[in-house]
Amino acid sequence: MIDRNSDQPMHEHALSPTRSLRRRKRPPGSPPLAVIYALLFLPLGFLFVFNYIPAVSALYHAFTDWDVGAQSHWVGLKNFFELSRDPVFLQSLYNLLRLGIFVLVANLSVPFIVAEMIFHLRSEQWRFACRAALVLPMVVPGVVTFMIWRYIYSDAGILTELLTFLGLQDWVRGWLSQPKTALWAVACVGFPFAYGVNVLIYYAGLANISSDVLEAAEVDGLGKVGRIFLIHVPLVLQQFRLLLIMTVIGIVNGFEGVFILTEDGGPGYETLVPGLYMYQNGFTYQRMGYACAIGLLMLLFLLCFTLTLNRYFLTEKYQPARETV
Amino acid sequence: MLTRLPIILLISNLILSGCGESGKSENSKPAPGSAPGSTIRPIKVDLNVYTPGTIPSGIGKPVEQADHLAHEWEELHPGKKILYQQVVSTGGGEGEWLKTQLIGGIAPEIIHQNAEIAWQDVDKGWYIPLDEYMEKPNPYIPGNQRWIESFKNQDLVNAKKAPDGKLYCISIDIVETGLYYNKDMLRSLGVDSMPRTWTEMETQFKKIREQGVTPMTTAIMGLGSDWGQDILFEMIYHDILPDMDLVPSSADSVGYLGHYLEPREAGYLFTKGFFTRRDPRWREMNRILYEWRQHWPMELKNSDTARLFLTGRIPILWDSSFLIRRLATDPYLNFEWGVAYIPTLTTETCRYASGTPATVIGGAAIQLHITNSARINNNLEDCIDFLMYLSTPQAVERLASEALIFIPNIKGAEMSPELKPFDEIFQRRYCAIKWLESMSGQYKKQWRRMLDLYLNDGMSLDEFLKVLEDNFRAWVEEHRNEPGWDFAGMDPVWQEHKDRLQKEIEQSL
Repeated sequence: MIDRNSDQPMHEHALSPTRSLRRRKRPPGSPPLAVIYALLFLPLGFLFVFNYIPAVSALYHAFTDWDVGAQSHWVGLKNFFELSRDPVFLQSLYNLLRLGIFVLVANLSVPFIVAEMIFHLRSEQWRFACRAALVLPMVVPGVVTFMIWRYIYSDAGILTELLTFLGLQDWVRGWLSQPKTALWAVACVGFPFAYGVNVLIYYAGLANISSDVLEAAEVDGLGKVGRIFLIHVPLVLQQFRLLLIMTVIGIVNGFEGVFILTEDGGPGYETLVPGLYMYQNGFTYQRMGYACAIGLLMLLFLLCFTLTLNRYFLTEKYQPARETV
Repeated sequence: MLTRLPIILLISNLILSGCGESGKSENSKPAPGSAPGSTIRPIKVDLNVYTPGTIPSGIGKPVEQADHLAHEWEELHPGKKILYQQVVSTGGGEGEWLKTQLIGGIAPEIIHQNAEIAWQDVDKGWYIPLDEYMEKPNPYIPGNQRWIESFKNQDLVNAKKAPDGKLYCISIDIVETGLYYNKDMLRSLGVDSMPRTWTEMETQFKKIREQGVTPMTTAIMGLGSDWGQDILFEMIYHDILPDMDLVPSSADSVGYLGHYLEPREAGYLFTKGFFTRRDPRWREMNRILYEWRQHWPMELKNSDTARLFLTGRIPILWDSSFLIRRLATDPYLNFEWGVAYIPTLTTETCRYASGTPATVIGGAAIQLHITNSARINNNLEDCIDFLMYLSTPQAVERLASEALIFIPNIKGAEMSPELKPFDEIFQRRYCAIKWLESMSGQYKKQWRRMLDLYLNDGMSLDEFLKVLEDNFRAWVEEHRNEPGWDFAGMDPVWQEHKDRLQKEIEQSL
């Protein structure tokens, strides 16, 4: 992992991009710096107004009692103590945990299997066709997907019709209404979980594996299964890590699926997740301070998760140079 | 220079667009008669299903009468402009989007909102009281002395007064529910007529289910269970309601509300043991509701229950008059249909049944409020004037006839013949309480959630009653010290009725 044109290890270049930029001469004909800064100011300004100010405001309001439209009152850690004893919030965490494990396993494993299958196709045309077929559904908005699934689960939906056609009427039930099935019905949205982006990311990782490595493995007598577990899996850990972080963030923050499918996280609280509970507290119960506290907890969790992952789940590429050279 | 040209153009464009009027559209061009170059701030109006471009019940041409009415009003008021804007409806039904607009003072000046939801926020000054205007004449109705007198059912309008005693909306039309039934399908299932009693209904429904058909479905999202408990409540408590009504309804709405229980009355009665596990009628109400639910579709979250009825899968649909437009105009409908109402509960089914006909649960349909935006934009008087224009018999008749979903509530406005069955149903008494509308915020949600869970076998009747009791207790504790609740004021009436009422609770012990 040494840059052959430099004495410095490659990672040092990667870690000090600003230094190299500063030294670089501006190409002739480039616009004046003032214009660049002015143009940069606009998106940064929007970012500041619409992202940072609300975030800081939410941070403050997590420690207040704030009915939307009225004055907020400082209550210190009261919201957090209440959350720790709130059975609904605890139930939402439990639901999130169950949903999260299922979704993580499905979203990370199935796309890898699909990517492997595409990678092993001999014909480049077929590989392209498969990739294109997986990408096409991505143009369907997520909301539409959930609406379709809602219909699939309905009394006149495909699932009911299919089971009836197969003579399995006894299996028919109110998938989203029954407490025993509601959460799993939500989790199964997206079946068979071969998400285009995830497959493409894995596929890109597989395609980047040096042919030397693959040939060496073959020469060493590794079978197909051995190659997958001993060569492919370790070399796509970088992609796995990226998908893991993206999926966890999506699971923790997302509630649109539950909102569309069961509207309020019901029956009872069977499909309620913290994101939806935050939304309900903020805009339905008008307890914005409490909602901010939930949001802050979610932020802290994601921050800890990402930092921990970065700290302990390092892949070879990011190891210090002396260890990898 | 050529390389800089795109940048210069981009910056110029940004500056110019920044200087221009935001959101300028055809609708915001100067009105006829206005001074050249003057900018008109339009009055933004949401009329729900009457908003131009809306297709009520998802069938037929988009409605446009409101647009014509706006143009007519603009011609009468040179320099004024109406801009229709549909309020975004969110799934929770609490108007979350609208609340954010009201907080920012940028909501449409005139909006439709269920009064009970608006009541939760009237103390924040988001809505304008209309009481003083109701006493003024509507200049667009010849001979009218007081605006309120132009309404056909004035008690219904006054029933929408908030707990603070003020009226924040006008109700220009009426919605009612009914049982739509597929005559052909029922006949093929061996049912010749709609049931008149609950027992008859049970027998018929069992017969239909034996043939592998779900007998009945209800309108969107389990609303049937809300409606069901309100209707069952009245039929089961009917005999003791006069005693339970500790605070008589005000004179201006008693004709509509009758022995309606206000939230504070329900709260007070709860402290005396009503609506708890000790209350045998309460238990019966929830037992019957559960049994009734067994005849409904499995998937109560199915939002397209009307489809099950329209495609001939389910013979009976409990829905509002909203569906009339579809049934009356759908060229593909291939069955004969009729409209009936919920059968009467008799002692054959429940020992507490009064045997009186089921009450109605509908009422005001489009409830037009004026928001704080009118005050902020200094056009409150114009908003009032436009509302008066909209509430003339001619205007309401045009709106209602075109939409074909609601019964006009303005004297002199004719109703479409298709809506006659609902007008007949509406002549019944109003229910004694709208349970979920009486509850506030999370208590209402909790009740609905637990009802949903109970009706879907997620908990037993005893567990459900226990959860309801806890929810009720928390709700009462939160509100009992509010000035409007005045428990002490109800004590003397309770003492008068105590002997008769306590007997009801004690007999179950």
